[in-house]
Amino acid sequence: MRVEISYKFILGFIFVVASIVILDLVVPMLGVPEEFQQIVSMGGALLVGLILGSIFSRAFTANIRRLNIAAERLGQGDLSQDIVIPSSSFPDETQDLTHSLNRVLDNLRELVGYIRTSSTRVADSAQGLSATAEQVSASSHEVAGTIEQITRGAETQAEMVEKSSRVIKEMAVSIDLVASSAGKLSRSAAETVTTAQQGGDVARETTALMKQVLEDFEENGEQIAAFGGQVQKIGKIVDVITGIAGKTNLLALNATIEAARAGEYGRGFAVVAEEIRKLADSTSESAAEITRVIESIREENQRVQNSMQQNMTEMDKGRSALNSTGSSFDAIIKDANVTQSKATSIAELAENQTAGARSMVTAIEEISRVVTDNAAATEEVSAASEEQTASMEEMAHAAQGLSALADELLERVKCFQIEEPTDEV
Amino acid sequence: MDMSKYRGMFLSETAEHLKKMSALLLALENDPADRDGIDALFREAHSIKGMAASMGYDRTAELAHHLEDLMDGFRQSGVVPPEAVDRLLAGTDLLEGLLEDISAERDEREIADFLTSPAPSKKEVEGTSVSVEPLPEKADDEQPEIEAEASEESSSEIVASGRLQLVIELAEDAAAPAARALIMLREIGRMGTVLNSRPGEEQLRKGEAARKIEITLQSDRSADEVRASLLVMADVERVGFAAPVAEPRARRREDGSRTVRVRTELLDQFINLTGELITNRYMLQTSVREESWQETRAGLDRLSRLVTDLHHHVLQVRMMPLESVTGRLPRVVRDLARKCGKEVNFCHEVADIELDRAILEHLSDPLTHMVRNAVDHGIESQGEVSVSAWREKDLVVVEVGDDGRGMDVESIRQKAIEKGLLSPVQARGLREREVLQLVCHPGFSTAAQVTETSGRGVGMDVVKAEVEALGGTLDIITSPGEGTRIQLKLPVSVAIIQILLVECDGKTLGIPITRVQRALEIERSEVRSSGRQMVVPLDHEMVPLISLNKVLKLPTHATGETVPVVVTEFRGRRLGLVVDRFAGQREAFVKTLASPLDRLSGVSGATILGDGSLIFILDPQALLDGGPGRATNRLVGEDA
Amino acid sequence: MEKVLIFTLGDERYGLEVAHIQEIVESPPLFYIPRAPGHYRGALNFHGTILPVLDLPLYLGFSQAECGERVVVLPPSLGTLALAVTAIERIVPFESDSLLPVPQERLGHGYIRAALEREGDVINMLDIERLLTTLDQA
Repeated sequence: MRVEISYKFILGFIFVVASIVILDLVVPMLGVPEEFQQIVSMGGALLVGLILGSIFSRAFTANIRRLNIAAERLGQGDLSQDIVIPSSSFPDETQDLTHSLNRVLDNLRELVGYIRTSSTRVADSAQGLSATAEQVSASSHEVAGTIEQITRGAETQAEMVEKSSRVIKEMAVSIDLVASSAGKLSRSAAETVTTAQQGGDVARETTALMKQVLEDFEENGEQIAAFGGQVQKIGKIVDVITGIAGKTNLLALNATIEAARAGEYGRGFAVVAEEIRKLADSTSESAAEITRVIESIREENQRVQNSMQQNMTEMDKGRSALNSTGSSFDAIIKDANVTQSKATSIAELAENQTAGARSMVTAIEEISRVVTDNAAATEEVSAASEEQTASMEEMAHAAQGLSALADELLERVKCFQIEEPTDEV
Repeated sequence: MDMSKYRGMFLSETAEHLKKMSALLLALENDPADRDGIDALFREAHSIKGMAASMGYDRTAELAHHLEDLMDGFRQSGVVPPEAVDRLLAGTDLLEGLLEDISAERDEREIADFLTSPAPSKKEVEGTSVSVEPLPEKADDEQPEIEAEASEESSSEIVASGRLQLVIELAEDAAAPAARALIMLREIGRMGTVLNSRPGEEQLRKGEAARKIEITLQSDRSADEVRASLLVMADVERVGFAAPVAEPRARRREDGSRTVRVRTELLDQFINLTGELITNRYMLQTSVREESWQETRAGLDRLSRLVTDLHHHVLQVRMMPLESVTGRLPRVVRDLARKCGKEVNFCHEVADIELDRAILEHLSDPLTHMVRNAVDHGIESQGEVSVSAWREKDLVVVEVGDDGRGMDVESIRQKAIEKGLLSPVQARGLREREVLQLVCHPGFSTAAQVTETSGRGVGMDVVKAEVEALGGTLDIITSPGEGTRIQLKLPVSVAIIQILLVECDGKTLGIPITRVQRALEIERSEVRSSGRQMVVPLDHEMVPLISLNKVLKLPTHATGETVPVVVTEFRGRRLGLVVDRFAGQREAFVKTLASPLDRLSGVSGATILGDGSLIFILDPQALLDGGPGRATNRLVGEDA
Repeated sequence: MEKVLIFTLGDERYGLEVAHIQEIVESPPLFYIPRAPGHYRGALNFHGTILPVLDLPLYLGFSQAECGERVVVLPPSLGTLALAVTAIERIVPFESDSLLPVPQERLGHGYIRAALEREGDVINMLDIERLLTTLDQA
């Protein structure tokens, strides 16, 4: 039964403990005095432990010693012997260990053996490799050189492409500039249009305002004129009244004459006629009065009308000025619009050109890229080949290293004895 | 009673009656036994008496009564002896004289002489001057005044029946004095003729009561009879006789209203037209109010037709038969023939020719004069004078002709030279027609001729002037040994004539077309100068030019390229009146001018144009006669 | 009781009996009269009758006086004539026996037949008959 050391120890412990316990129990039973019970139990336990321990430990210690001796042998490179340990009824890790060690020994023996063989082979390969490496390296150099040439040509092409590309780019830039100027122009034109429109609007507004004012004025003027007309009408009516009064006066005179002719019968009539004449005369006077008043009103009216007329003339001037301003604005707007449309078309053209340039640029860039790619590719190739060369050299180096290593290894392995010393390495 | 209103009517009616009487008498002279004529004559006299009596023209009434009685006698006898015709004619002449007195508001002239003049059988017929001079005014002492109880003693066989002036007083308590008076008037009227009564019948009818009534009664009965029958009536208190009182005449000067006889059919037409005009007026008023111009136009068209119609009819009223003027002529001829000791037959054929009243009025004297001339100078010892009239288009031709000795052209020509009217050269250049026209020249009348025109101052020059003033022309056609015919061509209506309007210094004037030979525009270049005179050649004749502006003393104006000239006849020669411009031609209604405008020499009338403007119508001849700086007796022309 | 029309010629007052007046007309159109003496202003159409219009102020010797608009038409019974005067005033009644004889010096032109005193003013009564007679003979 395999019992691990630890278990052994634990067992041992348990026995101890158990023993304590038992002793604890037994001792009293034995009739040992109580003060001495503990000491007896403990002592008993100790005894037990000592006894068990010694049993186990001997076995154990023996093994360990053996192992130790084996390890020493290994250390001396003696791989020839396995480790032997007495078997035990209760095997433990020592046995494992011994096994393991034995296995290791085996492995080691294989390994060393293998190494011995491999190393030899490696050393041989290394020598071959080194030779190849040297060859590759030489051709790589060639490639590198050719590639350099290519690279240099490619570089020139790339340069030209680059140049054209630059030129085109410049062109594109200038076109862009133009486009942007055009754009600026268009914007300013638009701004002008806007401004002009605003101006025109303002002018129109103002004109409308003025017109309004003028119309109001005219209305006023018309009202005043109408008033004047009314006054004139009154004047005419008064004239009519005056005329009628005059005729009535005449009529009254003639009536008196006729009445006189009628003699007696006409007396009453004559009185009436005289009254009529008086009435007519007073009407004439009143009419004259009204006429005077009307005259003064008319004069006043005329004055007002004159000043209104003046104002209107001024306003008219203003209005026509505004009209011309308005039309100037309109002209400006027109021009601006034209400018804008021109600018827009320029911008469009520029855009077109830019687009064209850009596509050119793109194309050229493509070309450039291709060229560059080429260049790059060749460079890569060159680099690659150089890398290759470098790698080759490294490889050669490595190979040499390897070889050296292999040698070393062999060297090192030499000290190991795997078999009974029969072969010579 | 104020009868003065009716005076005009009385005068014209009586004049008509007298005319008829004259005609009848002349007819009776040829046919003394014409019963109808006698009857008619009686009736005429009776009418005149009645009217005169009711008008209060006592003497006229008396004379008429006298004549009436004469006629009555002849009615019974059935024959009018020639002496009676003379007396009757004298009577009608006297009546005419009385009418003149009445017209002039004078007292009626004396008729006593006539009434008391010897009976026809005793009167000598030959050599009696039957002029119509007014009888010398004699003292009124033989006026038969009817005194209260006296009856008239008249030496004439035919008694002028008694005229009684009654003054009747009614009782103070007479119930209805006015009615009573009326009844009384009627009663009295049965006894004779009530010449006058105060208060008059009208007033009595109105109820104007008067206790005292004065009645002028013409009655056969004696005063006593009258009185007796009057006193029988109720309420008559007293009947007295008084001296006839002259009817106070209105002193107020009337505008001699003249009257016209109008056919009733014409009046009916007027009524109709007036009715239609009234309708038309309503129509126009309505259409104007509704502002329907179509209707207004139609209305105006209608109005225009109505006015034309009215105008036509009004003119008709003015038309009188020529006979009314020529009616007197037989008498004139007869009287003058008697006086000159010639036997002249007078025939007149004027048919139904009618002329405007105004023309006829002015024609009467010239016709008389021409007829007298014919009898006086034309007829040698025996012959015929004729007056005839006929229509020639729009003219009436009145011809006075005789079959006597005719006029001697050469001697007239000689006379003209002698009188200094023409130079020998000019005289030689005249055609026969033109020579004869010289007779009508004012300066031509010889002294002898003047007296023979019986002091009326009507010479051929006046005749011509009158005729031309009427818008007519005068032509003399003569043939030695065969007779002379004087033709007057007159427009049918003087009222409407065609005038040529001309302008001088901006003033429009009219010249009757009948005076215008030609109206033309001559080129400035055509005008030549001959001495101081401007002339222009026209139809192989140099026609002198005179500026009408200058004649009228108006400022002259420069004319343009052409010079407007009115060619007219002046004293037998052609003459051109230069005006500023022609202003058209019009049919113008001529208005006669009254004093003081009628004294304007050379202005024959005026007319009112459609636009209301008044233009005067010139008589170129008269104008030039009175022209400035012109020797009136010199003809204008060249001295060769 | 008669009535008189008072009018002015120049600055003098004149009067004409109403019985001698047919009508007063205002501003009638006046037409040229050929060959008319200078004292006529023209002819007027008065209801179809043609009346000459006499420049009364001028005729009576008021050379400076103007003629107003109103014209006095005489009755046809008096004559066919119209008078242009300076101004028409009014019609007033007057008693014919209140007329005074005309002082000698005023009788110069002879067309005043009497004087009428009124409100302190002297009105010359026009002798129309004499005027007409003179015109007729002119």
